[in-house]
Amino acid sequence: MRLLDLTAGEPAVAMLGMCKNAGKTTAMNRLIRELGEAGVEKAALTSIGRDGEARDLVTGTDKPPIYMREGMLAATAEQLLSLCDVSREILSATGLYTSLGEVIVFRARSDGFVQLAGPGIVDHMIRLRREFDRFGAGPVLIDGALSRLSLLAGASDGACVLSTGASLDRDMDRVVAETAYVAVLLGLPEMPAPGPSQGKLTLFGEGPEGRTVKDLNRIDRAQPEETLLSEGAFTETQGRTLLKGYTKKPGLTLLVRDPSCLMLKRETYAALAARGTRFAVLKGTRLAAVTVNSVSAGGWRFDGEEFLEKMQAAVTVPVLDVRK
Amino acid sequence: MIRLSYEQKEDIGLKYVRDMLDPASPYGVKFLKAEGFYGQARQQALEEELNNIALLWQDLETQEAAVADLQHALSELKDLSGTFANGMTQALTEVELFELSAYCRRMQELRRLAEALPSYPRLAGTRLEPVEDALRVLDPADSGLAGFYIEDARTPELGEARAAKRAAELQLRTAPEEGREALLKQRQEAARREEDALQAVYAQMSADLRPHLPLLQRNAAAAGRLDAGIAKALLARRFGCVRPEMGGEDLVLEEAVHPQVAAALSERGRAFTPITMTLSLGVTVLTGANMGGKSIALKTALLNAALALSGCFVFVRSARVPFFDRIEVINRDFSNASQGLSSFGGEILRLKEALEDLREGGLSLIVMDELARGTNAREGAQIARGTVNYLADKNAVTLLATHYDGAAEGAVRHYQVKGLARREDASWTGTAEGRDGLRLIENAMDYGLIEVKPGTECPRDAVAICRLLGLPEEILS
Repeated sequence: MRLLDLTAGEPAVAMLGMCKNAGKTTAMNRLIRELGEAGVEKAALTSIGRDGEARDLVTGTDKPPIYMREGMLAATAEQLLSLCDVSREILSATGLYTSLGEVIVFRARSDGFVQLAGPGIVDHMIRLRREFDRFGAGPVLIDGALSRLSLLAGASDGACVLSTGASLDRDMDRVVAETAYVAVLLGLPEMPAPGPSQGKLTLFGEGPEGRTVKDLNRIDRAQPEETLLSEGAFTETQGRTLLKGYTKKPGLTLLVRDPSCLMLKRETYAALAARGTRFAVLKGTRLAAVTVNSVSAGGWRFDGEEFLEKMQAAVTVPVLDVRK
Repeated sequence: MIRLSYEQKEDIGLKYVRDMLDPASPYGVKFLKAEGFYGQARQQALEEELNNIALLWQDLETQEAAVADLQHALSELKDLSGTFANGMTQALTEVELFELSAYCRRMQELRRLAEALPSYPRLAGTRLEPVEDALRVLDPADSGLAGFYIEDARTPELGEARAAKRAAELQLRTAPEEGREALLKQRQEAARREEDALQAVYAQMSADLRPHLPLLQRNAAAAGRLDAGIAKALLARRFGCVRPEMGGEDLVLEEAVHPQVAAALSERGRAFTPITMTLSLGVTVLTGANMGGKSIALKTALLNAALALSGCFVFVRSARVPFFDRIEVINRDFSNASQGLSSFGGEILRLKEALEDLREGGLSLIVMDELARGTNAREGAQIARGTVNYLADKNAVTLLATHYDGAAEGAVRHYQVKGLARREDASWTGTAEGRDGLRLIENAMDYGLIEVKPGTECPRDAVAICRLLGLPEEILS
């Protein structure tokens, strides 16, 4: 099974990792290789707001991890160009700035390593996507991060690939459960707001007229089929409050901006879901695949077969072993 | 040398007008920022600038699309002043070299578009020189690439390194796991040699480019002036401004308008009453009712004179503006408090400085709003009268707004605000509360100016104004 096939036709693919050393870079390199072998030369690479990590690289000795193919485009911060050993034709200085300098777009004139640091704000990522379009590039591969999912959801309209691995926890079942939960969040259905938001929390009945919710305890007389729209993050505390008066509000749909806004613990989410709460997002993404890495950075490793099987049983999307 | 502080520029509306100028390029912004006032010494430069505006306005009328294309090309220029400076002393980076080659290509396009403008040959200071020599350094193979890339053939070292690197890369595409390590190492070595070869090329290019950088900088300045000229012409067209006639010793304003005040009035559905006045050597005194717009008249005169002297068209039906060497604004400046001066003290010090400046020679424009109003009426009037007499034979054009009787006796000219002219109307009589009173006054007030015999008694409208504003009758009677 190729990542290429699982993400075919998507204008953008965001690569996400559950933790460090989950195999995200390996997965991205694999997709790049598959694109190259399939002759998709116009793919474009960038990352979203990873100044912090990238900064370490300027001084460190880490080998640039992404290996791109000739003909592909990449966007990265000016100060990282010297860490890229791919032969490159500079195409554009975008006028978009990161703390590592202006974002530069280049075309690879050879295969080679690149170090990516793209824009850190939604508007800039949208403008970079437009810049890529100007050169006829596509699909766009984005080295993302779960913590910046909000940025990704705002700026990309494609799929994502979630990488997980033994580095997350020594307990395989825990790794599987946490990953499956994130996979559920990434797969939440999209739904438009029933009407304009009236504050942090707005409760909608059948029509587009919502009413402000000042106190979550006070919505226990909510009718079934109501939608609760949360403007910003919906927190664990709010989730517990909702749970307390639960018997009186089954069938509620909790609507948040994007998956990253749902900041509930796995258990709280499960408890709400078990009592009939549905979850939806205004702007979602499509989870195309999960990749697993049974070797941890800490030295322990899982049984590869077992890990793959358990992970596959826990999610509805295809699961791949990145090392194969 | 004309100097106005930031606060003064803001206060008279000069900043408001200059901020409406919207150049497309960073070089246009720079030109406007550095432009300053054209004094006596830059008479010709000022005439050239005004001429540019007139010519570009003509082009806007006949070739609007061409000007829009030009503006678009200007908007694509980036500010490379840092790169120009770097290039004079050090080797440039690949991104800097890319920026310069993109700049040269945009300059070619800009030049083509500018030369298509009918007025272009007659514009001053906007000559764009050919950049082909610089471009030949940056793209010797004349690849026509929009991007920036050093071809393998540039140096033998580069060719060799790239060939070795490519060979390793091709093998890596299909190599089995066990052979990869060696190939990666081989490739890394070649990549290092490639980088060294590229750095040598960049250094050579930078050296070859150095003699051309002054030309590229001159073009940036020319583009900036062209851009600023278009911005000024667009503003002039939008407001129907006119070219001031420069020179002479009289400041003559026919139907002058203050656009900032006019905009505020128009939001309230009111129109600005244009102001016509001639200010000659000596002192022109302006008297009139409270709330009669004396300060606005002062600012209108000041603004239009300052605009003309900063190379802009003016908001008048017609204007003649002398080449003033100084503009002195003397009013109660509240910033004095921070320097431990009373507003009266600050005002008098400013007056003293302005009078001292006269000794340097040259022509001053002095504008005083209610000189010495911060002290007792008897002495205040004495100071005002004395100042008028002192300035009568100096090389200064002075405008003084005052309430003091007799201040105008030694004046060369005396204007009065027409004031509460519609006294006969029943509509304005009676009193009203707060805001309504303001509206009543606005309805009743004629802000126009009339010239009277110097020394004509000031109109007595203060009590009537208080009554309109609703002050208790016990006080007023």
